[in-house]
Amino acid sequence: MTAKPIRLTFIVILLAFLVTMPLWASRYAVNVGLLVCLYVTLASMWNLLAGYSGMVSLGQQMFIGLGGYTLAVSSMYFGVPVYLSVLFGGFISVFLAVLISVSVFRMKGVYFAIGTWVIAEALGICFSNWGYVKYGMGMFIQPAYKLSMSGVYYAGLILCVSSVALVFLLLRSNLGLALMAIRDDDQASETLGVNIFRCKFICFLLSAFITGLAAGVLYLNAIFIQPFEAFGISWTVNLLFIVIIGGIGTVEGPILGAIIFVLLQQFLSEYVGYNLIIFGGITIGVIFFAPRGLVGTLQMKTGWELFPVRRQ
Amino acid sequence: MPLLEMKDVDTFYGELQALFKVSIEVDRGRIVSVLGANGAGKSTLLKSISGLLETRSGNIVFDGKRIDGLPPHDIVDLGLSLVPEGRKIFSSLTVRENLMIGSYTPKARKQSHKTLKGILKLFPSLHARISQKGTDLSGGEQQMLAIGRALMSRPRFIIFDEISLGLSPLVVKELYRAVKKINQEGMTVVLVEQDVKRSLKVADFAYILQEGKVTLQGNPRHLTEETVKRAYFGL
Repeated sequence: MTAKPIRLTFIVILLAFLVTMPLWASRYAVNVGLLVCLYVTLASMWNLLAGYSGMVSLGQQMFIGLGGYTLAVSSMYFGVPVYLSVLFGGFISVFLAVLISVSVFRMKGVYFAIGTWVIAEALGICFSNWGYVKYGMGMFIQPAYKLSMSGVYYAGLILCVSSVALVFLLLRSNLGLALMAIRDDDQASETLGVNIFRCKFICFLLSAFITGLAAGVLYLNAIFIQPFEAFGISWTVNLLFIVIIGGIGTVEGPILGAIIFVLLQQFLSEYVGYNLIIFGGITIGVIFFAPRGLVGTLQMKTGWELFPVRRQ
Repeated sequence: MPLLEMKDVDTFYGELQALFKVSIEVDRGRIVSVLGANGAGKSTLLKSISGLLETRSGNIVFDGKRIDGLPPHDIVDLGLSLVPEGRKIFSSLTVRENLMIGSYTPKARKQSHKTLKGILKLFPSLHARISQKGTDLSGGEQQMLAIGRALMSRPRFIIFDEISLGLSPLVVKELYRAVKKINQEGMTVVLVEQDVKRSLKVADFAYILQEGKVTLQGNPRHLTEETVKRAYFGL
């Protein structure tokens, strides 16, 4: 069994690379690293819902918008320290998740997807008509100007590492076992004593919390928040792209997917308009030739996993 | 007082009525057989007991507590377990994981290692295949796995839905031996079967269903083949 040391070495090298990055890399590279970290976080949380819990949400942007606006309001209007404001964003997202869970958990499959999307759209409209948050003009998060790039980067890195670790540990726990059983056959798992609602509820809240936090860090970096962008569907479309090309229902998929996505986004930023065509083309290609995504297909062929979640 | 008592239960699928005032009693420590042709309402009966289907009227009492209207996981927690028809082995889980999911309720989880040992003793062939995918097992072994999985919740009451379906006579014989052993260890057993002869041989009491109604009940030793046939087919 040499797989374990290889795995550990790989993870340690990767972590060392990420942790030391602000010391040797350019500001631009660190910024790209931060984006990768945040997209890994967001995509892992979408993957936890869609890939493991059977809840294909199209409304993750509701937590992104809410996390961002909480940061803006509490740091600008109440003078709360920015990182504490980010934390508030996570809590407010959980609060929203609890509120809407009563209605969205009655919906299944495509109805759940549409239901979550509609809520996000409605929130976007509400915020754009709300004078307190300056309508559709948006808000500048001035306290974030003073932050150092590396500080924000480390916040993103912490989120990224802990969200991957969280998904990994969660899948190895009893809850993870139950999620896999529910995915295979929900009725059979129910008659074995699995409380389906509870399992899905926990995942939904976790996903909301971490998405809200990641949104806070995202807007620490972006500095400007505007309702139709923050609550826009394009966030979830990007996450969908990341998770599908990386490999849905794998821990590593969102990581690889996020790296590819952010790099492509950087290279294609000059070719506005064409970039969407290219993203779409890649997605179709991957769905055709590697329906389990790059990581999923690789795992099927080699059997090697960076984060093995199975109990031997 | 019987361990499970069902009284005048009506169950519907939408507008369609599937059970008509069904009353059933199962005493502690017994093996009770529920027989009936396809569409007689056996599966509906099980779904009503295990909480997958809501009953419209009547009540179901388990060990002195009303269980109709409770969610399935609460019913499992009270000590009622089901071996589903068609085995329903989880395809992405290994044999061990399939067994572990059986002890998901907090009470059962504490003793899961001890329970697992007992189950591997009951079905030694599962032991050798513990790390394999559950669905890679043979039909008979999958049925053993399904039984083991149901036992992992440490039930007092266990329902077997069509355990002999599609299996060779030799395997069926072995499974029935296991059922008797489980019963001797103190568990109350309900057998839902289409294999009339075999299940009447082991049962202490039998109910025969036809078109959603109980058409015959009694001690199998006192039931003649003639009356069973009539109750079963309605001829």
